[in-house]
Amino acid sequence: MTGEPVDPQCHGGEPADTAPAVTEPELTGAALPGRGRGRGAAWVALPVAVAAVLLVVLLATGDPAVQRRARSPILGDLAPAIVGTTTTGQPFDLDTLRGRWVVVNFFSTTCVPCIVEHPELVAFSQSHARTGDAAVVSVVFDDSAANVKAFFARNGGDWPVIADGAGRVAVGYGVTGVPESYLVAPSGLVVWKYLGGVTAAGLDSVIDRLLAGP
Amino acid sequence: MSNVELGAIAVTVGLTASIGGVVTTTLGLARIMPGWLRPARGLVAVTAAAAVAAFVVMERALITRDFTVKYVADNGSSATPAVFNFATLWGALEGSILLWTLVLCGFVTAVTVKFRARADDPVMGWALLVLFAVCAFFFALMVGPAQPFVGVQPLPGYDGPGPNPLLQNHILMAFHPPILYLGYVGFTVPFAFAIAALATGRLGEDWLRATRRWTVTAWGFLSLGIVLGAWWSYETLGWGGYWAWDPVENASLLPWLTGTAYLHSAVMQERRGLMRVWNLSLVIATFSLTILGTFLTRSGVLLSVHSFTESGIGPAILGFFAVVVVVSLALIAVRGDQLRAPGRIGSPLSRQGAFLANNVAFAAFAFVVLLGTVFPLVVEAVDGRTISVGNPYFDRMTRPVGLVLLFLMAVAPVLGWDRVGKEVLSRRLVVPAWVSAATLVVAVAAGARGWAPLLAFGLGALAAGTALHRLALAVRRYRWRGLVGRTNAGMIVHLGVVCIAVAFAASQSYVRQGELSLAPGQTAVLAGHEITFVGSEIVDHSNRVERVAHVLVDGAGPYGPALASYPFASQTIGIPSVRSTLIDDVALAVLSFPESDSDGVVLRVTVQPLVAWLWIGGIVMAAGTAMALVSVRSRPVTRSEPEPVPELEVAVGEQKP
Amino acid sequence: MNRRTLSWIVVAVVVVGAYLYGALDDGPPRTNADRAHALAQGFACPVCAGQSVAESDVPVAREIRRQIAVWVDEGRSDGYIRDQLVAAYEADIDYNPSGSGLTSLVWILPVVAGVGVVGGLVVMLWGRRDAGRAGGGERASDPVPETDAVTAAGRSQLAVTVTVIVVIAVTAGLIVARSSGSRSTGDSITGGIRETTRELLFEAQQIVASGDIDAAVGIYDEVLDRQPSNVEALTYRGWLTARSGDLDAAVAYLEEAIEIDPDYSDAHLFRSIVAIDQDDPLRAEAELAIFDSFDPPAFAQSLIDAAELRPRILRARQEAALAAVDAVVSEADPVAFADTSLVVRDVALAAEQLAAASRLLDAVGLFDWVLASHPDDVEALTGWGWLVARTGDAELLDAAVARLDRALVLDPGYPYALVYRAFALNQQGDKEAARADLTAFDAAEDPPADLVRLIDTFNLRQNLSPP
Repeated sequence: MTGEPVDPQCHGGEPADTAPAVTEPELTGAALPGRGRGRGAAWVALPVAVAAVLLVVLLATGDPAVQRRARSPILGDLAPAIVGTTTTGQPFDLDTLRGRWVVVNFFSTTCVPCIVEHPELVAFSQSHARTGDAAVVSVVFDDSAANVKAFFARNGGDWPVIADGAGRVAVGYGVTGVPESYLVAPSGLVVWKYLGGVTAAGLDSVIDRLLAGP
Repeated sequence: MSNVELGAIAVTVGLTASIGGVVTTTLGLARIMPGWLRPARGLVAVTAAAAVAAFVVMERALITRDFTVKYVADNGSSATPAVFNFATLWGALEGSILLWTLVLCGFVTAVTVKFRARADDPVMGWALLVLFAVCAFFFALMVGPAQPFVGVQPLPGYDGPGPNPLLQNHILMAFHPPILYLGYVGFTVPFAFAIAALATGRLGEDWLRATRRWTVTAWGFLSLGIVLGAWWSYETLGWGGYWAWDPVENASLLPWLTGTAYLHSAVMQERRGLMRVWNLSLVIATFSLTILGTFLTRSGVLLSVHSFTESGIGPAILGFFAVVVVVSLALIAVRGDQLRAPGRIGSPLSRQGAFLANNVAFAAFAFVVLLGTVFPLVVEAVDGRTISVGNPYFDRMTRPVGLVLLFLMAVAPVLGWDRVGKEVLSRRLVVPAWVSAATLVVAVAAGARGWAPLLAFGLGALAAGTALHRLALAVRRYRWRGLVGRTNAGMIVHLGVVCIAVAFAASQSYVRQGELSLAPGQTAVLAGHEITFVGSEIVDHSNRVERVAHVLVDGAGPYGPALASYPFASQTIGIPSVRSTLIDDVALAVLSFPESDSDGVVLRVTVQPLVAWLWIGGIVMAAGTAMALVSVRSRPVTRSEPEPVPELEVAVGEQKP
Repeated sequence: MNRRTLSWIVVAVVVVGAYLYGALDDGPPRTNADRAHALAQGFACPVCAGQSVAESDVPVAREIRRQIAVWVDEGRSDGYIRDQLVAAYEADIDYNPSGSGLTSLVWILPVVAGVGVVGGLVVMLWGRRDAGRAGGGERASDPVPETDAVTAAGRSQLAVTVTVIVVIAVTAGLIVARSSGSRSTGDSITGGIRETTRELLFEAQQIVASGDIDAAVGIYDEVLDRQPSNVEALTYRGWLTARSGDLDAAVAYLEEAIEIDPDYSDAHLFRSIVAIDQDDPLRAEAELAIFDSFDPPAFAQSLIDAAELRPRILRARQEAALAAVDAVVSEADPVAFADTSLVVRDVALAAEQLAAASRLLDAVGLFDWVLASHPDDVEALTGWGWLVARTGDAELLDAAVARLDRALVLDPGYPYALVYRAFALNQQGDKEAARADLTAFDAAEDPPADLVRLIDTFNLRQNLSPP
């Protein structure tokens, strides 16, 4: 609203004068016969009004800002690489799991929802252990290897855990917090993003739905 | 009667009285009931009393921990220390509206008392009508979407969560919001008179003179409020910064920018009758922007750390904003033909030209900030993409404007109202130029590099040199009176602004930050400062548990940055600690106490030069504003008196009201 | 020239001098940490309300900060870092709106408005001043002359002026959008795909594989120009230098690389090869040992084989040892072993060398010489025993076993003595005792590879297995 230019009226009147300002308002108006620019103010006011109304409409219709942040641009893309050493010292490469469904799970040992989620991952992992058609990979977020060992000893689970030292994996997937999981299809494409904890049933139903076709 | 009932009654009475005020003043102005203008003033007293009553009732409920009031149950706690418990009133949405209303009613009362002699004047009547309408709107908010007095039945033994942890770990939180509101709300007064002038068609300099002090007062509080807000961020948020171009920060800066432009262009209208539409537009824009800021802070439409929780209050404020803008613009459009300025700008190389440039620069500044703030919404509305506009944009776009403003601040005070000869200019500028040269040499010798900060230092020194030179001349002639009044105290305000500008340039350009992982007894060096971690301990406070890291900076201290856990907050809150000197600040914040190394700590250390001068500049600005309000009427100088010495033409030229 | 004019000249000189000095000289180079911090300020924390990555303390912001620091250390350009983050977190993580498409308006509009208003005001004030001059410079008391000035000619002049201002304003806006609305500052260089250090290094590897050493050297120099402490570039630059024959220069590169990152295994391997080329088998052996501790990649094994590194090191070590030992013992009245600076390992290597040359007696004599000084030296006892046992003579076998027994009394788990004694006992026909020694050897962790090879070569296990 403040972007309007200085009104041309200000410069179009009488020449500058060293005399004190005219203070009688009625006189001011009368002293200046219009020169065809009397509607100048209206011409400036109109676009400003239009801009202001547009602004109001924008502000009124905009979604609350917090709702704008739950999408992921990597859905449908090839899963970002996860190559490294697991916390037990084995080499790991996500590409070797190509051909299977992979749940890439980001967690930290101190986060309560992660602890709540963990048995679901254990159940999912065990139910697919026989068929070998799905695997779980965890990426530990902001935590130490010793904590991870203790966490798995306490809560079960024997899938590979990658310590993401430089934040490369988390940043590659666009992780915003823990727990967060991504479902990678056998083709290697990321097909689902879970904000917060997953359930074994939920994962299976998504896999079934995707297997059944679009 | 319970607090809930008392408060609800007070709010209802306030709403009724302000609506009554709107009705009676309208009838009085419409000459239906010509005598009703005067009794309308009685309703001001009722409105004000209602606001005070509501405020007192809420404070009573907070202090007695009356958890049957929902606001207290949601935001109060028996563990909160007294000061923060008092300040809890403005810590959440409903209470902040209550404080806003109280301040507004205070201003309305003051206006009524001040202009009691002109009660029958239609201008006064229209102004009162506008003020009543604004009051009615805010009382209506408290009856409708932002009800502060809602009753609940707490379980026996219930204790509230206390205010947001960020709002209860620094004493500045007790001062910053009320001062900021004094600034925001204060602009309602010039707005009311501007609308009155438009409505009555008395478009001369009358409304402007009447509200000059009100405007200066509001501007001073707004400036101080913004600086205190930055200070609060710096002291409590722990990221080593104080200004992040956050939407809410921008929302407070916008009215300041247009208000500052108005303070300067108003002088042109007073002296030469110039820029009338522009001045009305600036006043209206300033008020509208305070309302827009209120909306942005409270609607959740933009992301900000300072936001209140999202609420249903947004549409109401937005509607009010739309009404204000549309009505004002319609009035300007209708009165356009009467707004002919009696004069016009003379030489560009004069005070007039400089003020014109100043206004263009401030308008450009405000445009950049407003555009950058709302632009993500524009893009999303047009093609559905979400984008962000932040630091890099604002820095790059506002930097040249800021440098232009510093330059204008340096030369405008030495220019005359009309063209000044080269000889005079040369004489007036040579001392400031030396100050600037010396500063530049010192800055370069001290290691300052880069074109932008050096330009800021040079121009800042030039502006400071001009201001000091003017002040020295005025004091030599008028002794202490040379420090008061609009023009001279304006130079003091300029000094404060220069402090802030230079400190901003230096701290933004030469910030060094590092994350240090330290074991007890270990020392690390960052930007020439030795940071020693001594050890940590756990401290129990009534409302929180802190784990404090004891840290020595260059052997001095210990400083105690900490992580605090509040019983009802999910996350721990960092409490930073700052070693501040006039040369540079070392800000310490605990990032974590890592679990793998139970004795260690991860510290974020931020070293920034000259940060203290931001706060000093803020205080100087506030002091200068206060001195500008001191009346100089007693000085026996009249308009017709010839300028005593050319040097002093500027210093005394504008003292006369 | 009066005093004030002089003063102005001095001020101007001082200001311009100081300013140019300060603005042109960039001062100490910005560190990677500073660049990472500046970058982090330009990205929104994905889960926070209005805080940048640099400001927020939530875990994801810390991960992104850490990742930005890694990218900066790798020498990535701002544009690359932006693209990576946008690919993972959507475009609204970038606080710097793009200078193309719809978002460019945020850059263009203020510039157009600003330039337009300033241009308009300048033209208006300027034009009026000219008009005022034309009117005789007097202050006209009515606006008529000016009104008349707005004739048809004036109108077309006005149109031209407005057009010029608009063109200038829009051009300025586009330039600002183009230059500001992208991330390129910091480290990017122009010229297509050679954006990052990492890509350059990859390219260099390809070129090395294709054999064009000069081209590869050029690329490594380019990397080192931008990142003087890039370990990979230093290492391979050093290796290529070695292959072109300048060993001293190669050593300088490799030593620097090792100093910066002692854990970069390739540097140790190359340093080892260069050392053996420089006839410094001790250093070569030491570097190879460090390299072996890193779980070497397959390509390294082929390189080691191709360079015949291990046999060359062994041979060189033996030759050096023999020369050193010979220099002492060949004298008419050799000094006692204890008075020399030799170590037992040198003597053992020399003895191996002599034995290989069928100078068994000389070899045994060497050990006797050592044992004269240090009768309880396990290594010397074992070496003596093994040399003598290999004669196969029954009497000598007894003496050998006695020495080996003595060694094992002193150090019961010494694997060499165990294996050698197993061989000796096997020859004596005492398979039971030999088997016990072999079992004791197998129980030990980390059996020396050469012993394992020895056992396999002579089928000791099959010989000892119960019938």
